[in-house]
Amino acid sequence: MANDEFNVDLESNSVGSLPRDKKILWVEDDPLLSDMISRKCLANACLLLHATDADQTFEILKKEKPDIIILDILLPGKNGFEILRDIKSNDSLKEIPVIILSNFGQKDEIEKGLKLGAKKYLIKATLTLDEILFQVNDLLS
Amino acid sequence: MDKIFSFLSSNTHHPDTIENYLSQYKKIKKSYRNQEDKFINLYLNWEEFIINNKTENYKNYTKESLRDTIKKEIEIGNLPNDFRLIFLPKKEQSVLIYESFINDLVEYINDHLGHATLVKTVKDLKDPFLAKIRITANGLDFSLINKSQTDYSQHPIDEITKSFKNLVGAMYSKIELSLGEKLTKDIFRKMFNEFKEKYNAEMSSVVLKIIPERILGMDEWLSLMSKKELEKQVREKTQELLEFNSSLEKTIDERTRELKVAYDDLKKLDEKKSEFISVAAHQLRTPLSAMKWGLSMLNNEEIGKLTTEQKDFLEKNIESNNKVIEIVNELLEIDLYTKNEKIYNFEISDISKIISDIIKSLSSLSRKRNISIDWQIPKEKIFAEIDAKKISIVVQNLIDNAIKYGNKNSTININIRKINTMINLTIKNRGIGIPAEANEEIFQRFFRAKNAIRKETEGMGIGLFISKNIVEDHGGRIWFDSKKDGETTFSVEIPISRKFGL
Repeated sequence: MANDEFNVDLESNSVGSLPRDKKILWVEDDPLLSDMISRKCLANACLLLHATDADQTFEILKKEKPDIIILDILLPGKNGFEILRDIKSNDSLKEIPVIILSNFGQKDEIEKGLKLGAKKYLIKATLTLDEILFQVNDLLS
Repeated sequence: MDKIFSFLSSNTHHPDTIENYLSQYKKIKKSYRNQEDKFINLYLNWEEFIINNKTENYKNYTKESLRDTIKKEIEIGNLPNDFRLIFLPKKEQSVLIYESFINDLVEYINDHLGHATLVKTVKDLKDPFLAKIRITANGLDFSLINKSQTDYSQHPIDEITKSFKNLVGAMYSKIELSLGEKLTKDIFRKMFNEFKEKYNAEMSSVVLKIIPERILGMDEWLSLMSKKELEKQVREKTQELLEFNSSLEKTIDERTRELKVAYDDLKKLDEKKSEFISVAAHQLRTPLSAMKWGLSMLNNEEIGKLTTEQKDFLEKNIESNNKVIEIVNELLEIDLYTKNEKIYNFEISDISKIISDIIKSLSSLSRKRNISIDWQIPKEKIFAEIDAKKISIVVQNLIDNAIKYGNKNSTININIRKINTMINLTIKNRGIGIPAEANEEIFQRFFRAKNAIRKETEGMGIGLFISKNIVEDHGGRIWFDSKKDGETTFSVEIPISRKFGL
């Protein structure tokens, strides 16, 4: 059952290609998910910058300029929406595309994320890592 | 008798009235027919005048105090029975009135049906109270009842009334047997009217208590009863009704309050439940994501090579994982449709294309079940102002159900046509059908018919709930028809334009 218009149905994402040689800032606090993310990026020759909360995120952004930011919503401390707002209100950061990747995604949350400037709003549990990376590549190409 | 009427004169203030009543009294004394009855009537009229015309210089009597005073000052023991009873206490008075009325009846039976009939009528009742009545050649002798004061004072008036009422009923039946219904009723009416002429309305209405209801219809009851008595009864009934109404209102108020509290509690509970489902579903999603990602990486041999057996095994796990994720999605979806936060994007869309697309996406499932789908794309496109994504959900649910609950090797017929301003879609399958007892609940959330659970263990029972919501939000309706042999047709009707919606 298709959830809503922002959600992506699985079949159309079964084809596509993975991003290579990209710098990805991935904000994710779950260790197991983070482990799989780092393996995946390594396998695809992507540079992974990993943060688990808002402080780490902005610490990294002081030194690095990633091609894309993948942002979770439920995080310790500041949540993903607040981080997104801070990024978008910062002139040197606001051009970096942001994808929200969360399991927290009812209609109003999705609307809020897109309104704050996220390019996509994806639901973790409905996609495999490959499918998520197809979406990343899709956005970057 | 003279003493009584001179007492009334001395307690009347209006000279003309005294003169009028006294002249009536003298007239009665000179007449020979029904003298006693006429005295009773005169007394009651005069009495009423005194009670209703109170003046400062005179004692203000009530009916009761006037009669009590007469009883004290004048020896009433010598008065004829029918007159004397006016001054008796209510209970004795009633009994004497009953007896008087019954005596009239007795006279009639004795004269027309014979003494034997009278004896049999009384004996057949086998009433211990009535057994005290002696039957003489002339009629009934109530003296045993009347004299043994202690005896009948043991009987409540209601019981005595009941006994006499039975007696009157039995007498009526006997008379009716030989004269027929109409004539018998006429006799009763005549007797009652004579009674009414003798006594006033209040006293004659006592007789009505021992005339069984079947004898006089409601209309007759009303016409026989005096206006005053009727008014009194209406007043009493009105009072009763008012009291009943006010207590009813109070009860309704209480119940309404209780219902409101119960409703609020339920609403809160429902909100809590929704919240719980939502939180639980989100909590489940994180570990489910990890499993999905991990299983997918394993399956892609990103972690290492797999044997065919391992791969098979893993694929089954991936399937299970996807099923759980689907259930969680559905839980969150139902939460969305239960709340009133629906957002629709209405656009002119081709519904037949939606159907074709859904059929294509379900082709592997229908192939697996060996079910063919009969669907002719209409030559003309069928456009309607709809939210295409939402309508897709409806079509998907209905066709998915038709396949899942259809018989193997059967055919599903899908049809769409435009009827005036409405678009009518039907999906017909042959399968397990919908049992009649499930009719009411089939569109409710979390409901699944028993035979559906047997056939297809998985499922949350929300597809039709959501479909109904969506169709109704489009101003349309959804219904089904299930025959005994399992042929089931689901129909959806939606307006071609929002302005034609229900």
